Amino acid sequence: MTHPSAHERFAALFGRHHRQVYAYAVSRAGRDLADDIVSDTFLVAWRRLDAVPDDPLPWLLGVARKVVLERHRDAARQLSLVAQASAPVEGDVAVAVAERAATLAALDALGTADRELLTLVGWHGLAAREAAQVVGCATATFLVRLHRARRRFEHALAEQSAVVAPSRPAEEIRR
Amino acid sequence: MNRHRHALQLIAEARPAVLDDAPDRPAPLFPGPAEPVRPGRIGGRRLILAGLLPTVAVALAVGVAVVVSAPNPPAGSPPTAGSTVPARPVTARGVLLAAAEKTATATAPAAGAYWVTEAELDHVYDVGGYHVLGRTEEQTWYPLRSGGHVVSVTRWLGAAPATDADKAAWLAAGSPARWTLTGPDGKQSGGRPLPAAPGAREVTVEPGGSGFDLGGTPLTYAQIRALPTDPDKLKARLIELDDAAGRDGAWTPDQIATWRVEMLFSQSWTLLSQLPAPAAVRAATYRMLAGLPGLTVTENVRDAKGRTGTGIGYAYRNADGSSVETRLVIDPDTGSLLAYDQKSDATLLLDARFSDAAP
Repeated sequence: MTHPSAHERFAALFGRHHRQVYAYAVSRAGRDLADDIVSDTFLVAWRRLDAVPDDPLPWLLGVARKVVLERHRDAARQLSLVAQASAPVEGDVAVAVAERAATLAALDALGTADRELLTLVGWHGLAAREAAQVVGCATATFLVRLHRARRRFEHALAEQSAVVAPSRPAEEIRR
Repeated sequence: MNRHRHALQLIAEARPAVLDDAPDRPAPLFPGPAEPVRPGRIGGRRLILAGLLPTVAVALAVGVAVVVSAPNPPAGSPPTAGSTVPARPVTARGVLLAAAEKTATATAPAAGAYWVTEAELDHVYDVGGYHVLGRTEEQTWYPLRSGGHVVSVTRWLGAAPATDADKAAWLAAGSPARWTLTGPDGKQSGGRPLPAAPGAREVTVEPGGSGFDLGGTPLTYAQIRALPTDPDKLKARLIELDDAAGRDGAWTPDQIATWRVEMLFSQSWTLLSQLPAPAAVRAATYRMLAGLPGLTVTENVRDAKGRTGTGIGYAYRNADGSSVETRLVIDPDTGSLLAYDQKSDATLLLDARFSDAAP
């Protein structure tokens, strides 16, 4: 029998966190699949409501991550963040637009694992310990992996900037 | 201009608005019952951290403060009767080779069913106008036999103003018992609360796998025991693992050389702090480190637990030419690793042991 408060608790969980799970889903597999991933994630949360910890976000994103890996691996691999991002709004400063585009293109150039670590911290506001919980490794391991991902991002960005701004002197675009 | 900014900050600023396009909708009604809700799971204090947010990346060496770079032993240290105190080595290489000697002669602990590590993770948070130091303790149980689960127990130990100046600013702000962190968007409105009081224990169980990882490659306990005990062979093995993990894009030989030094420094931390590596492998790790270029040494470094050690620093270079100083703190008397600190984060190693008792 369902506990009377289970529905309320689940509704509160959904209300507080479905936007964050959606954001994660878009960043991993794109807009088209985001709603499905949110539904699948919260279905697991409903079935395992008792396993949801007091700070549910890392747990929920961990579930969403498994959903992506099990069902949408190809979409995750083929995802282009550049294509996902909407066209710049009129009035945006051109330099900032170019910079954001270069950053997204550099993220696209990375492997899915690196991109995942960088966006968990940069876009989803997770602390290292929480992000480590999402990907299922020790915090210190996560920090080392994040560090390596950052190095590769900087490298990819330098190559990206070399394409965007070919007039830049070689020393400056060197990582 | 973009060369002069932190990578994670660039990434945070490039966050596509489409991520926030979630439709407003009520919670779905799923068929079937939820698990019964155990009382007592609800209402516990939430453990909240926002470490590593680009907006809180303040350039503070946390938890580890340089006390004094004294050539003489501290005044309070007991005199050694009947023998001359040997001059302490003052080069990074000397410190590391001495640590290798101490480590190699350490008695091997008895193995058990689990490898258990205990650490304290410290982070300095920008709470708007001043900084607070938040501390979390983390105990991790790694199964040494297959089929086990990696179990982590963490607890928020609370937060307090980081320095005397921060304390004055905190008092002036009315001594709040909780703070709001700056959100990923750089605004406090999106930020999460950070309580000053300690939190409840949280248990995470990660089923399957050993939990051991070196350079992105999962390793079994047997593979860790079989790591090379010769520093050159260990280095070659780490490079082999790293190359297997792959690098994207074209790299110049110079870039690869720098990358490898950084990688070896990072992996040394993993080897010495997390993995149940035999004493001979740990000694080889110190000897391999001793051969790396660009290391600095700081004597009499005190960590947040008041332990004194010798700091071995390495400056990671950022794309903009700035650098991030990272430091291993080694106990010169035992050769054991005490702490690792980088910018606003510090990890203090408290214990690492084999255990037969289940978590």
